[in-house]
Amino acid sequence: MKINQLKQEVYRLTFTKNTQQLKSNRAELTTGKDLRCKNSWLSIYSTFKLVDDFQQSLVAQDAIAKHGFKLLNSDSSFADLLNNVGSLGSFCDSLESDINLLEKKYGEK
Amino acid sequence: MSSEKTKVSDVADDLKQIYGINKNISNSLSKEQKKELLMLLENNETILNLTRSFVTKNHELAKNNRKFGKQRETAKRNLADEQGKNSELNNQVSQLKYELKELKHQLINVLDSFHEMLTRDVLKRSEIILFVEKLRDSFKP
Repeated sequence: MKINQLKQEVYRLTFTKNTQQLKSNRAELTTGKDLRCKNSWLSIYSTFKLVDDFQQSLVAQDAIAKHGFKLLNSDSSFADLLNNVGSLGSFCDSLESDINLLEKKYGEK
Repeated sequence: MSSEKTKVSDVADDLKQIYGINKNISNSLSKEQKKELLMLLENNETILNLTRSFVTKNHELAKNNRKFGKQRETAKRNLADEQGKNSELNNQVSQLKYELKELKHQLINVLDSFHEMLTRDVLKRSEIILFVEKLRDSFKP
């Protein structure tokens, strides 16, 4: 990946728009790094990806535990399939409720 | 020596008490200059008025400094609060992003399994209808 692509990926993943904002919002990723070098960006990207993948796996485990998803494969029954459809609804409701809470907390007053 | 020091200190005290000239300002003058200044203030109205004007201005500046100092401290506290909120909001948005990704992932799993059951022709017509109804109901507001 070229340095500019790496930068764009880092901005996207960290919800930042530019290097200045990245330095200010995510100092833990940039401290001590020379941001003129591609290797620094590669290191930031790799670190972030590692953390991101780990958090993603935690969310997946949490969703399975909270909403009761079952692992589906070619031996799964129709009842298992319907169970997961129900879990989708519960997951979706929970997501909507989290968004509403966030909007209430940080929305315009 | 001690008596000389007391005398100089007395002049500085007079400058402070009578004319409001702080010691941290009169300290930059020598003993002789302090005495000379005291004499000038006693005898020269122009010097007296100029000094009063400096003293008044100095008080104003000190007052402004205190005010701006307080404002700067408040601004620093507000900035820290905002940064804290911003960081918390970013974390919560990240969490929602992960949850949405996982929801999509689970939806694809469900559709893949349904597709696989359809291609194996193991579903009855009533089951297909039930599946579609349940899926639709899951996403109803």
